[in-house]
Amino acid sequence: MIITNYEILPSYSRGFFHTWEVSQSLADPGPWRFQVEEAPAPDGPWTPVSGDVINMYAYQEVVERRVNKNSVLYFRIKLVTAKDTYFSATRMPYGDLDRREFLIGRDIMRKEILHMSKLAGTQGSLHLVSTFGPKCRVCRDPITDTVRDSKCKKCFGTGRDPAYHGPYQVWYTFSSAKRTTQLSPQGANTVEPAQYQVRMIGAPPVKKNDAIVDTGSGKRYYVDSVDNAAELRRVPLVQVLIVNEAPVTDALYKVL
Amino acid sequence: MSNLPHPVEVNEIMPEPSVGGVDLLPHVRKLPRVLYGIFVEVIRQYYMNFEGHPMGTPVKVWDKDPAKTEIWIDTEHRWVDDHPEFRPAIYVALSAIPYESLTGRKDGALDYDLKDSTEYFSRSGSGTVSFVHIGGTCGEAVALADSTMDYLDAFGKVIRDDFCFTSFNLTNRVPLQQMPKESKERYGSIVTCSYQLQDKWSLKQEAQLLKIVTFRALQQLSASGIV
Repeated sequence: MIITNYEILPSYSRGFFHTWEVSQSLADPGPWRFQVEEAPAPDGPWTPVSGDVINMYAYQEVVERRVNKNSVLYFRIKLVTAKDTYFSATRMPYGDLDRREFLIGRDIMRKEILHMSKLAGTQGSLHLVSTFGPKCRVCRDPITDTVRDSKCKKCFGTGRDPAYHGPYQVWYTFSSAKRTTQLSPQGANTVEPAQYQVRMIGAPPVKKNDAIVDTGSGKRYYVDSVDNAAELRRVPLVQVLIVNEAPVTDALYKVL
Repeated sequence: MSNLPHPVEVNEIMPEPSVGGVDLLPHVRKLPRVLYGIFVEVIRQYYMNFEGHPMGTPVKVWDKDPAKTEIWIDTEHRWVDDHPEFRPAIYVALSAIPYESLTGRKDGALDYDLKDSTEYFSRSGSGTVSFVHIGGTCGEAVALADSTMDYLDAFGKVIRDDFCFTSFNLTNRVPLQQMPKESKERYGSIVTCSYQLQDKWSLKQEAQLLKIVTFRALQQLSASGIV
């Protein structure tokens, strides 16, 4: 299977949130064009829901979906590369949840967003680091496959092209942090560690080394670890991230 | 024909210890402050030159303007307020420098000129200098250190001669190690060179100059005394 880990997550503010990954074995040249398709039955007929989603691995419906509660929908992802066309497995709209659980999960997210938008949160953008997709042809070592330039103008040290996909607009709540400049423990000039705890809803799912941009201040953060503070049958509803502020000389300030 | 050696006039290349207010290196004792300066300058000069890099290494050009430089090159434990955590970076670390005298005496005394009442001293020291390369990816740290190692190994003799070391040569390489975490993971690759240096100095003492005692043939000490 070329398209893997296809998930449909609840999202309060808009329609369904689709995420997927691509097998590491796929080496077709880019761009990779994805399309979310829906059908009333598992075998079709399939109609496109989204436009072309190029080199991205998530799609959020732009409006909340209003359908008859008894209607049944099926979704799949279509990938068109320069060489071939691939399809994901078919998924039901509520993913691993039934309808009631899906609605409960969505309501928990609604309350989280309400708290953030009315009181404690800030709006920012999330950029998901590429862990699959076409490899950078500029800075990778041809034999060992290691990335030789952390500020490569093509992949920005991620080894993939594009380096990040997004942005996904989300609400965050940042904790306070102690900032101090200190000598680097390894003897190389100074460091200014600033670590924050960030709370956000479960969509899109975040992983280590994803990047957060605080739209207000313009600061960039690297995600260090992720803890799911609330789950429903292993579907993440609320995520708590530990993030480190990136230094101003970091490649994140050039790519995002 | 006289058997006296023909007097050879020896002129120092740089007879003055300074030019334009800048101390010349051969006349400066190689204190750690000077050693840090030598090695930082050596590595900065290499990374300043875009064309000096071997093919295949990431081209990181050092510039004295912190806003333009692509790599930070400095001494260890350097406090930098305005550009914290600049990576990739190379920093120069010195090991301890044990000293010993050339003659085996603990005070380093080498010679004493009775005529000028001047005492000469000399010490030799040896140590290692490590060029620690810190990269944002493991491949970057290794590639930078490969480039530095090529340079230091190829030009070790030139560095030895230009900076008046007794010896300067590549001794060790740590290919890759994980460094303490910063805003994200860091990787290190270390090139180590060993060097030997020799310092010499003289001390002119405040003492009355000794008289030269000469004896002429057929003179008797008791009859004519000391001339």
